[in-house]
Amino acid sequence: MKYSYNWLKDYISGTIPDPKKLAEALMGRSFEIDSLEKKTGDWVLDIKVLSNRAADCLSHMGIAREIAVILQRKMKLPPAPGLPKSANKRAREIKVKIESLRDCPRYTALVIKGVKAGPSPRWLKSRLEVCGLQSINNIVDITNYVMLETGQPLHAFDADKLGTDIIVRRARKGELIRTLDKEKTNIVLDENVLVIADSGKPVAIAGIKGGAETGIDESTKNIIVEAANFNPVLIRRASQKIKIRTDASWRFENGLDLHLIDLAQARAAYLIKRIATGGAESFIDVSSALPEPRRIRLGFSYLDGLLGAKISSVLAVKILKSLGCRIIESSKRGVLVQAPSQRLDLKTSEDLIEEIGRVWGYEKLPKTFPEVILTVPQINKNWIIENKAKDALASLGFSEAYNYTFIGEKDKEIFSYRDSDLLEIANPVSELNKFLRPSLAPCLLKNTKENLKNSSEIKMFEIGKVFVNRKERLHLGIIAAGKKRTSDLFFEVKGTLEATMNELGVNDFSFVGALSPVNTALLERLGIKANVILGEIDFQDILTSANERKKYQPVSAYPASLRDVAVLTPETAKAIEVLEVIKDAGGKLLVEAELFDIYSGPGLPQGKKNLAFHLVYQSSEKTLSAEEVNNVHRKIFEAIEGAGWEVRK
Amino acid sequence: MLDIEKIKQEAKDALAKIASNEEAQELFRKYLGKNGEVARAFALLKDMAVEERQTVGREVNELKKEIEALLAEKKELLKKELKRLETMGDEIDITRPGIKPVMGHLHPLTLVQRQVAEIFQSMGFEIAQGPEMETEWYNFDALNMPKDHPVREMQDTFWLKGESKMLMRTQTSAVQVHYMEKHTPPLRIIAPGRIFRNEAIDATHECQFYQVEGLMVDKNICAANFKAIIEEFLEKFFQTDVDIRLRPSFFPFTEPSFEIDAKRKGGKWLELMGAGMVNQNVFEAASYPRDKYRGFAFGVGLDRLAMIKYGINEIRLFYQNDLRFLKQF
Repeated sequence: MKYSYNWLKDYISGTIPDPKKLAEALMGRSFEIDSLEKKTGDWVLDIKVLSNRAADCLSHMGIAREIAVILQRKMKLPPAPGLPKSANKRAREIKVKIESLRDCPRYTALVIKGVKAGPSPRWLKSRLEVCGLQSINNIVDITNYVMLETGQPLHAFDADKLGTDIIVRRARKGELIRTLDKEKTNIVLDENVLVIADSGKPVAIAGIKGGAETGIDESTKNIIVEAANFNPVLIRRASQKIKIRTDASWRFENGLDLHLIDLAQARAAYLIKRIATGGAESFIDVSSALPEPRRIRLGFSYLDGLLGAKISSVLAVKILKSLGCRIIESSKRGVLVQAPSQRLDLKTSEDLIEEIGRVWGYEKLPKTFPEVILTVPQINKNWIIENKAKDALASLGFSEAYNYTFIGEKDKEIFSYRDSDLLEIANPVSELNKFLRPSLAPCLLKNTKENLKNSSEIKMFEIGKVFVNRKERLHLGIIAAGKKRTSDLFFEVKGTLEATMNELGVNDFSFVGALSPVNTALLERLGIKANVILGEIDFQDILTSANERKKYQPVSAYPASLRDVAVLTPETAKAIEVLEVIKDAGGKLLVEAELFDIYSGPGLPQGKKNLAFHLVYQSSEKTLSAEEVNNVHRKIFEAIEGAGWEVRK
Repeated sequence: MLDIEKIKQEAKDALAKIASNEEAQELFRKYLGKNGEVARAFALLKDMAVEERQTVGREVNELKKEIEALLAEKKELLKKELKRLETMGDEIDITRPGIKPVMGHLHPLTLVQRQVAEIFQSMGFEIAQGPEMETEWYNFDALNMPKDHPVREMQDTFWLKGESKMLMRTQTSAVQVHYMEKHTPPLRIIAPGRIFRNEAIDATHECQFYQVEGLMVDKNICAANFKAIIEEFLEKFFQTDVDIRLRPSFFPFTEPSFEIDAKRKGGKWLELMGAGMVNQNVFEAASYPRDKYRGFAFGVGLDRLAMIKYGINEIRLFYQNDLRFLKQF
């Protein structure tokens, strides 16, 4: 809220620091200052009042109270003469009825007769303008002025345009009201909205906005000033529903002190008499029982213990008193205080400790390391495995991406997701954030497309949450793209993942979908002109199967014997099938078999390929003789031929 | 006519010129080989008179020995020279750039999360994690933010369609009660992770962020403990002296609450995090008895820490994944 420096000064006895120093003091003890600006002989302080202090600080008197506490000054209160008694006979000309005291715990109407509506005096106009409000006429300006002064929103009706009944009730479905603003918008109401009505129709939206029909104009003679208290939740919901937020609704939403009404009406009566010559005739007050003052107990040892500082009990009590707390009981060990009624936020001893702490000054708080039992933190295995995988992938040439958790309608189309595949956001602000990503693929492909503009070879990965079958899962996505042959890219990605999983101690893993070239139609839709290999793994499975344990296997003391074998197979034969046949036949003495070359082309029969393997024979018990090696090697030959392939000699 | 002196001179001249083992081998063949000059000289001897044969024979023998010695000497020299060349790397242009294996790069937010985790782990904090898709209870109610509380509005929330009371967590504080339900104090954790705010993205607005939550609970934890630990963390993180200041703030789940500003040596005050002493209502939500424990909690924006640390000027860069950006980390 915007505050006038000159206005704040009115409530504090003695001089106060210059605006910059004042802003600094408030910043350290009360609230953040969003801005400080000079404006026509005054200064505007834009103060970010915390939501728990809205009840007492969205007003000049509230902030002045803070200043008085911080600077240890006395408050100067504005004149507020007594109101006419409710019992006044003439009060009967207006009848106030509240349908539910839960919706409206208190409603007061101040009847003022013989006002002269017209323009406001200069000082009033300029104060409102400094605070960002426009001058309308003297009556409306005074209600706004009192709101900015006390925090209590007021509303003025033209009494002659209103019937004799004021009813606070829920709106009926479909009821209409024309609001009191330039646009005179027609608002459709329903039973979630509280209204002020006369015997016929709504004349104001309670706590939010007045109606056009009963507004003040130059011809207004008699007025009714409303000061009421409404249920914060109700006002908040209604204001969201009809999409109108006002200075009044903002204050009601956060809750207000029921006692504040008396001060506000007294100020309104005083100012209207002075500026618009009207005299207060009667004051109608319908209210539920006013709440009992809140009493809070505070132990001094808890004060010191929670802050970790020694604050003398004398000082603590002095601070509490300056904040308006009444000391009910006091002992060496603590106090029982009565919180000032406007401080709706003070409920617990921690609330009092915060008050004492901030006024005392957090800069005085020492830095003390806690005394704890020395324990080693529990290892978070998932965190370690995830980071180990990231390290492995980066060291193998893949860079890490962080993408959005959301995808939009367009992505849904491009990737042909069905509604049942996706979790949908109920209230997206942006079209781009409509669904939760079911896969890391869409974003990695988009990253690839963008990066291909600057780079001919893309290698990226991401480990992040995706939402599959309405469940949250951790996935690993990997992508390689560029001019290389698709098969080369494929084996690079496959090899990278195998090396990574090896590093994690994972023997077996499978893909979500498949590790495969991205289909050409999709690449075309995305506008990617490169070969792309994309794979995705459910990393949550990896987290459970990863095994960090390592055990040393003694290395054989006897020499190894190296042989190669070349196998001629049909093009369609799978390398892994041949490898399995070799390993089966090789038995214990074959300690390693590695595919090192695949060839097809000139020199080989049509439709055939040559697979070349390095074979290592070794025993852990003795040096193998040439004959022993030959025997196993021959067995492997026989097995290969038995499987229908040819050993090239 | 046999001119021994001439042969000797020619051999000496040739030897002086050779530069490789191959040439030395050739010279050997030319002079000392089966059909070499020395062999031919010996062959001439048999046609000579006995006396002449003895004299010339001795001279040829000496010639042979001399050439043999010279060759051996030369070979030794060549060997040394070759070794010198090899070790000097004279044949390699060592100024050429090296062949770099291509390395990938980790995202700066990964790096920052790790640094933060490392510092807190060294102070005995455990890493805790929680779901990104959260229930209304853990994200709000358990943190003393009941339904219709105006503070809920401060955080624009992504609600899920068809999943009643499910949302994308707006704060890593949601991990607090999850963890406390399963552990009894004393405890100290940090919970790094992704959080969400329902906003349209532009230069100053993001819809997702990274945050690290901190929570320490024991019987006698105080605000002064928080001040000490957070300053230690910031100094380790920025690797320089850091001043901090606490300002009053409001969060429903802490009381008192603070806003923390930090200033690096010679720098400006920067707003870094919110913190406070855990509200007893939060302990109650975690089924701890009221007033038995005290604790502090804080939440730091990791994007912000990364931006300050690496001088990154725009938050959107984190989620664009431009390799020219990623390669710098």
